[in-house]
Amino acid sequence: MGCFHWPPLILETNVAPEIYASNPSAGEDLILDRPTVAFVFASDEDDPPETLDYLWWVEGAGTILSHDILPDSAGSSVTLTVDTALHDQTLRVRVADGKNDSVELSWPIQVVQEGL
Amino acid sequence: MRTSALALLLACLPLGACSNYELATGMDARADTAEADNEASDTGASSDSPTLLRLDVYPSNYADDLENQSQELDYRDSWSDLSIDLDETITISGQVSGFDASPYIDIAVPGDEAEPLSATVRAEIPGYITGAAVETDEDGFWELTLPAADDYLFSVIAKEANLPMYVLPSTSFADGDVVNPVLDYGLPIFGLVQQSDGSTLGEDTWVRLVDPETGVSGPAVAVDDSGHYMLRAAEGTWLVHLEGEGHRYVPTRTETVSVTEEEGSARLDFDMGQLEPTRVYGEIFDASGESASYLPIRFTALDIGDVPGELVIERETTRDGEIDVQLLPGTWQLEALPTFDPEGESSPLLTTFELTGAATLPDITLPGRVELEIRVVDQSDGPVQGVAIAAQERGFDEGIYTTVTDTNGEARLIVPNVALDVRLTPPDATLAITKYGLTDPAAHADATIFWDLAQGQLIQGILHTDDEPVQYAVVQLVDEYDELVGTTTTNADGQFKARVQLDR
Repeated sequence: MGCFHWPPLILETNVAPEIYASNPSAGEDLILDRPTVAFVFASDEDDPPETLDYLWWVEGAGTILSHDILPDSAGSSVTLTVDTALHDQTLRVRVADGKNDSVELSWPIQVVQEGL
Repeated sequence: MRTSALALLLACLPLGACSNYELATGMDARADTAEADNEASDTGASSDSPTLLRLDVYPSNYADDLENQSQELDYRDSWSDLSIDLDETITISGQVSGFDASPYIDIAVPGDEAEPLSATVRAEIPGYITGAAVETDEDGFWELTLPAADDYLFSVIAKEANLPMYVLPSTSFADGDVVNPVLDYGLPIFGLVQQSDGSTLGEDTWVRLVDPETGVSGPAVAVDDSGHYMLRAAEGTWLVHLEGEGHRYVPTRTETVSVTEEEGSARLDFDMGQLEPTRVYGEIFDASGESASYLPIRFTALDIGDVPGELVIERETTRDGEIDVQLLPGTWQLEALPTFDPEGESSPLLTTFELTGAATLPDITLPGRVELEIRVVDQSDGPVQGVAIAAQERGFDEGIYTTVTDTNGEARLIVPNVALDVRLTPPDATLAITKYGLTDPAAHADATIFWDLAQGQLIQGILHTDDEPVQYAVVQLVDEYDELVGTTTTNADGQFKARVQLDR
């Protein structure tokens, strides 16, 4: 009997993006007492920054928010205006690398407004 | 279709056609560049050139102990070697109390002493992002964290009680300060809101006091079924702001009133004219011809005849894309506002119409999107890779559509067919963040748009607090006309560097 030689098995792996800085910080509430900016800085070990996709939305309401790209594609930001409809909703961002890997961050929104 | 007693005049117009924006001339004429409205914002020397620049700093979790804050740069300073010490955070606290005309816990002497009060406490520097607001707990206690800065406008507005507002302009605080505002009973400002024939407006009409000096606005108080209202204020001159719920046809009015201790009260009546709304019906379809379900729509009165005041009514279409709304006779602007969706097919739309009676609007179909081919080059016409392109709707909901240029300096971007303000942010500070206007995107659908990046003004420095660099902060650069010039970020050493279109 001869030997059967299997070719080496090559597994392609993909590293998910990482959010390394944000405002508000992870775990904090977003206090919306005036128009404000929320942002994330993200990186990816095996994908260039300009290939990362950012999706911001308000959970529950299902509203997609328009966002801006930070210089050198280092991250993404959104500007939120004071809107009582956002009270007790959740702002969420997903950073995806186009290879089925992504990372998310979310913040509960607390609106502070006179007369609310 | 319903019968129409309508004098419908004006056709659908792209917003740009009605815009008050004046785009500067001086575009770089290129043979293969689409023409007319593809124009760089004016960067030439001018007596109106900004001389101040505001840095709105949003720290990240790397500087968790800092709050959002504005820092102002003067033109006399060097902007190429800035060292900005950000304001450290202080905490102030206190308890709000107020006059209670009808205490229910200890009914000894009604109104005899101040009771703890639920309120909104706010400290902010007008025109800056510096500041914060908080709601008291049920016992009136509150605590605010703020940057240690001067010139705070401090205000306290009762949440449920109809009491005067508490305002302290130009106030400085030190860490640990305790402020216990007391909202006294004040003086009554009262009046009657009615139409010319003496009838009232029914429910959902509100009045509130506004301080004319600071713009601070007091609690909203409902006008009762008989048309009467009462507000309470300290002695002085005030604005009384009247408005209906956003979906109703009650015009917004603002009147001035003075109240003195000597007179003890002041009366201000509102004659609303005769509001005789009429029903307006119509249908809106999206760019693919389907009914535009639950589409946000906004009606703005341009002229409602002899009826005083301003009026904006916000509604949605029905599930079947129908408009069904009560409007006053006059000239109206209708905005159809598709929810922001980069993958969407439709564009916002603005139309103007004149209404003389019950009417059915002609069917409205939203315009489609436009795909732009863009090439961004430097001063030597060389391609620039990694330029962030942000195209923002001028008006409507100001949605932003973004992309990044490739190695050839090229990008494709699908945008709504409305006037756009475009901001090009290069990946480094060798070239400036450059703005362009695009009033008619559809005119550029068949040709590559060439945009070149300006040389601009260098702004460079470090953000720190004491000797610690402020890492990974976002810094928005805002000129003295309150316009966003561009955005930059700090690196791991707290350094930032950008070029902007700005004259000094």
